[in-house]
Amino acid sequence: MSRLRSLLPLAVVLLLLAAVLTLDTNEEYPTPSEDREEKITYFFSENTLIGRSQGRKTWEVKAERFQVDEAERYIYLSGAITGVIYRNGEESYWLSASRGVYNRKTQDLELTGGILITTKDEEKIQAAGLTYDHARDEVNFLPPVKVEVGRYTLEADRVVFKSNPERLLASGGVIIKSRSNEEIRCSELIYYRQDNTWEIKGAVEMSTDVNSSPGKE
Amino acid sequence: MDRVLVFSVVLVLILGLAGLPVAADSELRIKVLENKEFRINGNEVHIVGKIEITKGDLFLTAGEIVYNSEEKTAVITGEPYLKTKDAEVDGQRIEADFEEDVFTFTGSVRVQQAERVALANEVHVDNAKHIYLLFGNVLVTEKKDDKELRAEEVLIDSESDTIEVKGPVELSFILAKDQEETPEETDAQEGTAGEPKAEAKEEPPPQTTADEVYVQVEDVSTRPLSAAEEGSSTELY
Repeated sequence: MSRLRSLLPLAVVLLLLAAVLTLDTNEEYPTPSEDREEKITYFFSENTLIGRSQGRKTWEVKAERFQVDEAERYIYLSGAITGVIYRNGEESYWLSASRGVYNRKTQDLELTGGILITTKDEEKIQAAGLTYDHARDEVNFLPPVKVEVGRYTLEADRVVFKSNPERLLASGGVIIKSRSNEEIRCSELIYYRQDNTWEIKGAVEMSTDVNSSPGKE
Repeated sequence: MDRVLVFSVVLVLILGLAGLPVAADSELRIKVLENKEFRINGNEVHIVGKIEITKGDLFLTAGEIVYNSEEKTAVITGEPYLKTKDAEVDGQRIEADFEEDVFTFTGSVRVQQAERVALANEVHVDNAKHIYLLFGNVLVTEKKDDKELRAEEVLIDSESDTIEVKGPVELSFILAKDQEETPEETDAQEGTAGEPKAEAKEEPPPQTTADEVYVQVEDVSTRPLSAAEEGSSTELY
């Protein structure tokens, strides 16, 4: 009986340890896509992920933490994520996010957690997330999306960025607001970055209060 | 008790109606019903298609507009048509200033009012003041008495229902069948104090018929033609 008593504290400690270990193994890594459940096998800290195309650096992403799955297909990024996208060898876009997944096979990249993209021309894109489709060379932004270009601000349900030529395609509940108080509502538009031109398709309605235009000096 | 209830309901209704959004006169609305092209480049918005523009009591349709969002101005083409509170105007081109509510029509312009049709090469519409200033080959026809006025510059003030004419003017109208006498030409054409005396042509033009009186006045300065004066069939002003 006394032997049992002496074993009791040890049993309690073991039980507690078992409970803590169970909790630890149940903790899942938050991934942007629910269907990915590969086991994490590698962990890096403060590393840089670089994407190249035809020997040229096309993008560079830095994250606080990197983790790689067992099949070494997905790289999970977490913590503060910052990145640069290069166009013609020059830094063109700067981005920040808090979570991401990079597919090494397809070279697709998913970023979530309050995306912010800025350019040297003071353009700004804010979105809940983005998916970079390497094969199509296009970026799909997850709503809500807000784009600021020059004197215009765009909001839409769906925004896709395509290259060659660089253009932004917006659809579904598109609203453009100008600094001079114009509000344009349409269902589909394309913004051509090079020409700084907005092209709107389908029915459009534009309204403004002409007597309270802050844009007019 | 009932009075209190009725008063409360009325008060709620009044407050509710006061809170309803009312389309302000300063709100400019451009609706593209058929969009052939809609491009924004900097301040410039270029639209081609079936366009409807509204601002207060103003209604405008056109096929093409180049709108400057900074200046709130536009060049409107494609059979533009403008409808105001008191007139319908169409021409070939409009230069619009939406902030000032001023529209300059060019190219075979026609102004239609309830009792009047006017044609001119150019028309300035001041929608805030309800003034129509017509330039070049102006022809104003009064529907009710077939009175015709030809001049180089005519101002139609819809608010006071007066017509002001500048420069040489021709006026023709049909006399009533029972009226035999002709108007006292030179006496009737005297301007206001200080104005040069109008001279009538010695010979009437050949197209004048028996029942029609034709008067040509040269070098007449501004002369108002009021609605009351228009009622007279024998006097010019």
